[in-house]
Amino acid sequence: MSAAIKHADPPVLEVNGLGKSYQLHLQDGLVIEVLRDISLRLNAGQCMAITGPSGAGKSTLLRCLVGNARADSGHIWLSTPKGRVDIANATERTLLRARREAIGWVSQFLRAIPRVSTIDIVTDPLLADGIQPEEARHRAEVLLTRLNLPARLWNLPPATFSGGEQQRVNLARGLICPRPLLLLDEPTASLDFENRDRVIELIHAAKSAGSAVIGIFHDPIVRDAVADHCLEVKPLVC
Amino acid sequence: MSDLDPPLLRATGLTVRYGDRYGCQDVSLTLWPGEVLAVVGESGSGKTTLLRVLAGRITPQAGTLHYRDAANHEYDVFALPDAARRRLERTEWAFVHQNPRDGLRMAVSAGANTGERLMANGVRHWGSIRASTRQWMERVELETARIDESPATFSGGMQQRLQIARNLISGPRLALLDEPTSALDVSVQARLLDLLRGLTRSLGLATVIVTHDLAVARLLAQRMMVMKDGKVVETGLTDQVLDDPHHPYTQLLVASVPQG
Repeated sequence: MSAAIKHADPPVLEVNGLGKSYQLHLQDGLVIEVLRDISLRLNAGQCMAITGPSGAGKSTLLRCLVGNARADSGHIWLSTPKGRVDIANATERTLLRARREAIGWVSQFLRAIPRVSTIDIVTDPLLADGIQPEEARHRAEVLLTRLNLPARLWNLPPATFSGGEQQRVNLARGLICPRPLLLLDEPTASLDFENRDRVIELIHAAKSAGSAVIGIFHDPIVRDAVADHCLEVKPLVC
Repeated sequence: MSDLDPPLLRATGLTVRYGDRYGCQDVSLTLWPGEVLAVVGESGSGKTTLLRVLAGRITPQAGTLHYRDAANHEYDVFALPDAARRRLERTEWAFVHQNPRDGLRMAVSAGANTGERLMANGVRHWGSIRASTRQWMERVELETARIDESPATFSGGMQQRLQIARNLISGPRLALLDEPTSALDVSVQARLLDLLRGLTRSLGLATVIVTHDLAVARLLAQRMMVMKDGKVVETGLTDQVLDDPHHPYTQLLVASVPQG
């Protein structure tokens, strides 16, 4: 794909005038405005780092992009295989489809499901894509090996794993299927240096494969290694 | 899959009054094949009333309910003659009660409980009924050696799994589950949840699950409806409602769960 053609392509993600407040009914209806008039564009193969001090709303922004936090105003246009979807205003059903087909999501913490093994957690998105179980298992094993997760852990549920091991299971699940948009919330927070470098490699690979990546990377080494540009979220004065 | 695909179940304005009190008030919902919808709320919020209306067991004072069957024919459920409704009940719908004793026939064997729907649906070959029965007992992790025992000798968790097998053997397309795990120990609950999760996915079962347990909803359901005093106060994807609750009652509900 030449640079000229790439430039003419519509962005994978286009956010216009995004606003988000939380109203805390248990605190006398206190309204906390977190995001105001956020706009951004992100093309295929690019990586954007969301920066800003703690509490500025970086995670809320990321959660709005996947439709987990519900935007109050603005638009979040995402290019999906079946056309553009406004995540901020989509119906539940369209949002579910858009997430499944177009978003890879690595949250800060793994939400472990009782009794479900690591390998099943990681193969799950592939099976949902219609990949045959044997092939899915093979791909999951390759990725878990790349992430240095010992094979003896693959058939165990991750509930008892260390923070770093859980984080790698989470990464494997988020990265196993190529998706147009990849959202990463502190993907290397609990990892040692070697594993951190593996994750950097995987993010580069996702970019080369055409994913647009947006994430929160507190570690400046990771941020400098993967991000093409930064978006600073400034705390709003209430 | 899009909003234009025909839904399996369409309910509008369902209202049930008990005297001057509302069981449920102006409840509307749409369910597509394969979707799991959790209905949450405290006791008395109208969850179970709603489920019984969706099962066609209570006729509401107001509202409509349409169900689309496997042959793509859409029925007005409350206008159906009893016989036609009962046919849907034993072929296309599953109803799992909170207390397995309400959904099982305690006087007959586990095998007879499981095979009953097949017989009611006209399967006459005893061997094939017996084979399906064994298969479904295995699927819900019950020992097939106990096929001829009375469910009264089973534990609560086993009874609940038997009730599920009894309901799913006929290959229903819609499952209505009323607090299916709440009477069970935590460890038994986890096993049943895992089983339900696997079954709803592998069978593509559209499911409405009534629960007061937010963790159960998070695990099983893509979509969620929060009820209070018979009314729906909030709807959304399960993770949206639980991670970014908007309504005061939902915020209270989410804040009341111990973080573990």
